[in-house]
Amino acid sequence: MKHISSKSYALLAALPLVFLAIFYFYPLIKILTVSLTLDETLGFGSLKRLITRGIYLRTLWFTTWQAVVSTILTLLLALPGTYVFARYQFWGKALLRSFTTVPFVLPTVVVAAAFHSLLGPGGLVNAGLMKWFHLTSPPVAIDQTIALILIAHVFYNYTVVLRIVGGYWSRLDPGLTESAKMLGASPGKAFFKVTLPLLSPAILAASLLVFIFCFSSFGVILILGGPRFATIEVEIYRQAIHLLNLPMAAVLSLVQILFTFALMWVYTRLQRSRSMALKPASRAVTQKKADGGIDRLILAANVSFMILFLGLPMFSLMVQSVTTETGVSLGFYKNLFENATESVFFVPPADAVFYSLGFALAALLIALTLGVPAAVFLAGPANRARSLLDPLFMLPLSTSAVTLGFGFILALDKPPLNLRTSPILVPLAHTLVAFPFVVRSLLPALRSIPPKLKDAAAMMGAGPLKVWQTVDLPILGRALVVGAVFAFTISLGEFGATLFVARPQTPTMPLAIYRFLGQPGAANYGQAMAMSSILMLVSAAGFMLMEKFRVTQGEEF
Amino acid sequence: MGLLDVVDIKRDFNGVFALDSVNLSLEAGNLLCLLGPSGCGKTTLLRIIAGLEKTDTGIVKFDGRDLSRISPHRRAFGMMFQDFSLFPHKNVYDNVAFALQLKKESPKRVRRRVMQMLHLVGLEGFEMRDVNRLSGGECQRVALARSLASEPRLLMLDEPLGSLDRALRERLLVDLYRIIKQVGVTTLYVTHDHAEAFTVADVIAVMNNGRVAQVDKPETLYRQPANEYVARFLGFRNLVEGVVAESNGINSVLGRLYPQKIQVSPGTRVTVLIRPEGARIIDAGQAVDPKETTILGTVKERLFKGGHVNLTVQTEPGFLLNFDFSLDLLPPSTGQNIRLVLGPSAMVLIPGTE
Repeated sequence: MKHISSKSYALLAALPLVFLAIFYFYPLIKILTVSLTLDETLGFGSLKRLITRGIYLRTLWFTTWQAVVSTILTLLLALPGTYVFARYQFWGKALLRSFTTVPFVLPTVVVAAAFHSLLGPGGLVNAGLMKWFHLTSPPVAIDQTIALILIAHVFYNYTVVLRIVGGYWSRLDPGLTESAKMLGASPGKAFFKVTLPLLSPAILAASLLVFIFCFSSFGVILILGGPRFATIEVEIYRQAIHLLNLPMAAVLSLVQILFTFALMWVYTRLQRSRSMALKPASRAVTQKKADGGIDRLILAANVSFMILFLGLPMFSLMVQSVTTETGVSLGFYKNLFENATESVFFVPPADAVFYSLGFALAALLIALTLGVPAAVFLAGPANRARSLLDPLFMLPLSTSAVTLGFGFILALDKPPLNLRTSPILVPLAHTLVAFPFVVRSLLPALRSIPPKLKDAAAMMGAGPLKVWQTVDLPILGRALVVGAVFAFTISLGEFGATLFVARPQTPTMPLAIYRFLGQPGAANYGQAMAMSSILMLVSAAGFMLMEKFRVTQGEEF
Repeated sequence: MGLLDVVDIKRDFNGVFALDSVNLSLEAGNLLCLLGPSGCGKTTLLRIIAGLEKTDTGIVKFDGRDLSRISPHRRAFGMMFQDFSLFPHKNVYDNVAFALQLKKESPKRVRRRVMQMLHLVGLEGFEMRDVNRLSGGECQRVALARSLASEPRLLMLDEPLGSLDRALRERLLVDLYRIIKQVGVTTLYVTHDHAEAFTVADVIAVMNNGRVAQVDKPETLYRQPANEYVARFLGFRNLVEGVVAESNGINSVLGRLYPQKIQVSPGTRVTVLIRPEGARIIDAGQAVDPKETTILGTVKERLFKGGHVNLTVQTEPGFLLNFDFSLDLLPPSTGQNIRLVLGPSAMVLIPGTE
């Protein structure tokens, strides 16, 4: 029985398609054309310069190797924790799992600020060491070094490994390892000959995802790396905004787009083939209580590592935000809401909070307006249009925020679409980032609605709209909340695209933090900490809300 | 002292005894069945012997040596798990070869042994098969070949037929028994099915609630269950409570019964097991031996079972008894009143109700 004709289904897809065409594909095409246009003043194509100039190759090389090292480090540090989550039951496990995910949902600017507050020259660690050992200069000097970047990347992506590999590991039958032991394999041999090969698809998928994230790392490198380090993303920003070399920025964007598209393609392929013929074992079988000295030691070591490594930066951020020269006070928070004359802004920082909230609300509304019809369309019976549009709607996900922002300023600053000076550009960019997430949170809920329920409602004389109202909407309610919160928090924390498209007089919170951190003085630093703390708490609260309302238990990405 | 000795094993999970003072001994070349319902501790005991589980007190000895400090992979025991736990990333050959390759045997020897094992379990030509595409019975045989490949000192089977369907089970049980006997390996076999245990076991240990209720040869076990629990677990339903009489026999609701070998002092409360195949039907007025008991009853239910007919008889005081009668004697039909005679050989005295 058809409730909505295929024509009206097509209409549902039209709105998001038009939006993507104008605000996603058009900017991308613009990047492509600009990068392929010859640079007339020099007579050389930017593409050729990219290859011949060492600096760009070095950028590409740095982008790749830091991503590789970050991925390896993340794996090494997260796999023991993953084992603990997969194989042990312990008190507070669910809470700890949520806790480990918080870093992942934090805005990059906040992560950068948090590591600054912990390991920077005036950070908690240095201040403590100087005080205890009566030192005159900070002993830990890893600010603006690769070490800090790598640590921040591990902090960010720890949970990716924990969730993807852990989800898989916890369903792996422990009988396999026991069988191997009974056949004469030592615990080490059993791990390398049985567990690791079986986990390898999940490990590969997690590594690829971490690699993609680190490859497109922007905020962390820009803030923690200083001028010495540049990934492709950072270089795009520098070329476009500082050097005004748009063709070169476009070429770099093209490289970035091609790389991430290729990686995402491999990742999706991997995900499809990952459902290997493995009889999933129930949690009750695979997980045990830690008893015995070694078990307890492994558990305690990993749990304390997680709490310290993931908790300390967030903790120190909050400590620093209330540590003023006159002792503990909320001075920095108060400063945020005062229009001090020495402020580095054209506007008081409190306005950044106001703008951020406004943009987030706008992004939420636009993302839901587009996301709901898109998801309803995709949830319909499978056909060719759907199998084509499903990945198409996900495409913005595999495009870095910086390239999106750069595409916006390339494409939308002259007629017919001159939006350069319009504040709507910011929520539009945020919508683009949030749209795939909204669709993905709505789809499972929509697909879970039994068609029989709709048939029953229709039999009782309800029209298509009435059916949707009485059957779909109540079930969708939770998913809508999740999608809305997703869009809202993504918008609040978005940095890369916003840096390109925001007007100086309408900064968002991440921009304000970035500017505060770039300015000297304890007051600016303190306000950066205060604003980061606010943003961190809002993001964490948003995440907790989503976990509560989520329809399917999320262990995958 | 046997090849394997389990001495006073205790294990509790959060204050509940999974195993309580378990003692067992297994002779070389024998097959010992651990028989009991799920949750009786038989799998826990097996895992303790394998070294996969710890014991709170007590020791496991093999060939006179205490195993408590020897980790599972050094015990050289073979174990077949209930769901077989075949390595899904390896094919049949590599599954069977796993233990041999770990021992760093030469490829030639590994190959010869794997082929020998596959021949033993009747899976020649299956070497390159993906284990994820095997049927349940094939998986079971691969698992058996894998456990036997490195010539374990002790083979442990945890419900080896438990995850297979019934029709397949009966056939594979016989195959399994033949292979084990052919190899001659000392075997521990865990099952909840007494028919399965009767078929394969040299000795059966019936377990109840973490304790060993009885250890005996299958036939002894069947003939003389040590207590009511064992009797009920073996499927006996005609259990009558009674008190040992002063003079002779046992007083019960069915009248005075005369089971074999009453070695209990008068006045003791006991249970009498009446075998389902032990009753005789007689006509009224037919003479009976003084050691025999006559019971009057009505046939409530008559079930044709193929080789015999199963009758549910309601005796005059309202007690239900179950009997099997051979077809040649034309068993009575439902509703018919009958006169049953129980001789001493039809009854077993079970001392003490637990």
